[in-house]
Amino acid sequence: MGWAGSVRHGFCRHSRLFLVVSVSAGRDKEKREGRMEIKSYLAPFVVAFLVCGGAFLLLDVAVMNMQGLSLIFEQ
Amino acid sequence: MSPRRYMLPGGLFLILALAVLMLDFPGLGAAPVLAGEPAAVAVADGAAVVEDGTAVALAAPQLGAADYPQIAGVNSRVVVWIAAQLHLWFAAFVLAVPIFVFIIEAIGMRTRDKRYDDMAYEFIKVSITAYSLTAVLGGLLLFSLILFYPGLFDYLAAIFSESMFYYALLFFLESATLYIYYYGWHWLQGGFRKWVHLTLGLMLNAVGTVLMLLANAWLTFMMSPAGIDGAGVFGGDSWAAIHNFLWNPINIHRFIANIAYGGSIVGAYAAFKFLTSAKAEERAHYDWMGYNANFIAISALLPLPFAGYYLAAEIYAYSQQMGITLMGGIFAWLFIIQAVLIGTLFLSANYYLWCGMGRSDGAKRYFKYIKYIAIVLVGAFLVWFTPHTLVLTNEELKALGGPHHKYLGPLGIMPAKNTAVNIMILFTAISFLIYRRANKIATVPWVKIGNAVQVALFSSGIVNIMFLGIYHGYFTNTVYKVAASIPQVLTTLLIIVVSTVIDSFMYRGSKEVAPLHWGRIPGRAQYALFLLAVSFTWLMGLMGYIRSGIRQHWHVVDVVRDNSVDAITPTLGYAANVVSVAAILFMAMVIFVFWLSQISTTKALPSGYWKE
Repeated sequence: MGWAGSVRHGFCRHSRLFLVVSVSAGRDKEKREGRMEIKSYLAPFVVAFLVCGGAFLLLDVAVMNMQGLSLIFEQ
Repeated sequence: MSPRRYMLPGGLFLILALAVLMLDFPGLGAAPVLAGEPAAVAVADGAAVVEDGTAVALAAPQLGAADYPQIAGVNSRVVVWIAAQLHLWFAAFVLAVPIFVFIIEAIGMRTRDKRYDDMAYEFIKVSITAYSLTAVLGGLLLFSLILFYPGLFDYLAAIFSESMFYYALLFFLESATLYIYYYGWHWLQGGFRKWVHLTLGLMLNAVGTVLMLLANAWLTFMMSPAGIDGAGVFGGDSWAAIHNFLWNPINIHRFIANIAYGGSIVGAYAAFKFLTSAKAEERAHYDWMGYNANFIAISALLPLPFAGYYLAAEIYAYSQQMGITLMGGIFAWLFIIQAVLIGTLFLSANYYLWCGMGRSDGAKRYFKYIKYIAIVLVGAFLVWFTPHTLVLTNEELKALGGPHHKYLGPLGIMPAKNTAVNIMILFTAISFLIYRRANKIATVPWVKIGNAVQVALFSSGIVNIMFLGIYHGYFTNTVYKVAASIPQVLTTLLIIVVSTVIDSFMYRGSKEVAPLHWGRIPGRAQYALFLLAVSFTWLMGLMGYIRSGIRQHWHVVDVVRDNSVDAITPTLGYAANVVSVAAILFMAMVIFVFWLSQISTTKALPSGYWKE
């Protein structure tokens, strides 16, 4: 029986409370770690997305200009 | 002498051999007399007029009933069609196999891993029997052309006399090189001998490629004739006729397609051997072989749509009429079948990779992503084969309110398909990346940043491809639509190159989860390899018919008119049936080749037959 099983079946009222608190504290920790994990990916992702997006935009402009056209349609 | 000492003399020998092949071939340049003055020569229809004893001017022939003899009541077009198609399939295979055999042999020499050398030998062994069949079918095609189309063949042979002569000589060189390369494999082992063997492989490829280029010149001359004046009189400049407008686009497309095709056929061979092997060791070997063959096929398949697009664009540039017949006329519906088949290629290649992840104990980490890749691939596949204008009955037309579907109709235009194919290619590249990572754990400290950058690269690239496809596809004119496809292609190529570079640095010095379990792959994955080979074969046949069919009622476009009873464009169903029959014949021959390689390794020991 793991943490969840202990909580569901309960040993006594007080221990159940203790277990619930412990489990929710553990879940909070996991969530915090998850958020930290996402943050550690998010910052480089946002920076890289903007840099790559800018680079692709420049590529589009250059290639369209080489064909005698602008990136934005002109009648 | 250490192995590295052989590198310098071996490399020099290799360069020397290549230099010999670059020697100028006399007779392929412009004829000195007539190159600049074709109009001064009086010519009769189809007659060769010799002037100054050096150069020949040739007028386009007006072909009549006598130029299309009926022999034994057979349909000449179908005979030539099937003979040419079978020859081309085998030729593509035997030209492609030495290319990657050479690369695999070089990898084996570099890594000193004998498995690569054994695999390269097995690949070339399969192509040896196929080589004989290629020659036999080439002979059949030649005789068919001489017998059924003598007038046209005379004209083409007069224009390409030098290149046809060199073609025959090169064929001898190709055969000699191939046989020494194959039969000398175990003899030329180790040290300088191995370098000599590798050089033979290079020569084999160089000669094979030149043969392909010459044959491509003959067929592209029929599509975009060059070296002739306004009246269709050939001036004698052979190089001009060879270097016609569509020669290089076809050369590029065929070179890449041949590699993809060759990879798929040897993949089918590996699958056949895997399924018929009883020993676990053999299954592991053929699983490894199948994986490498699939890798070769897909590596060439990824840039292939771009080469095809370039070829189609050049056809449009040469003749708008031909271009419109190609994709806006009757043949447009074959492009829907093409989309289905190419989609099948992508799906089966990805499916094989996903099944192959079962070889690794670390692949479980990535299983959750496969369903998303599958959803995107299927979505893009559906967009790709959505037709613009539907073939409907009157009742259906009334019910729908026209030939265009209200919501799906817009997906029928080319920018939507370009967007879909670019996304399919990118998600196939993701499958490859995941497969590559499945058994590895990166140890560099910047793993998270590297992963974030790769995700950003793919997502921003996909946004860019979607922007180009949607904005230029639906809110601009045709010029913009076509022009925007180029940055789309470049975006895709850039993403693949940059992400591969990042990945290779990120997984340098990585740890293995556990040794790979070669042979631990379900049997159904082998059927994906068969599907790959069959789809490629059928696709090449159908697309080859389109390429040839856009000449319509011309043997040589705007120069030599087809005056035979078959100077019509057959229905798509008829054409598909002819190609399908040819594909079945080819597959039967390929199975025969596989069977021969199987029995060549089987030894029977009859008791009491031989004297003790």
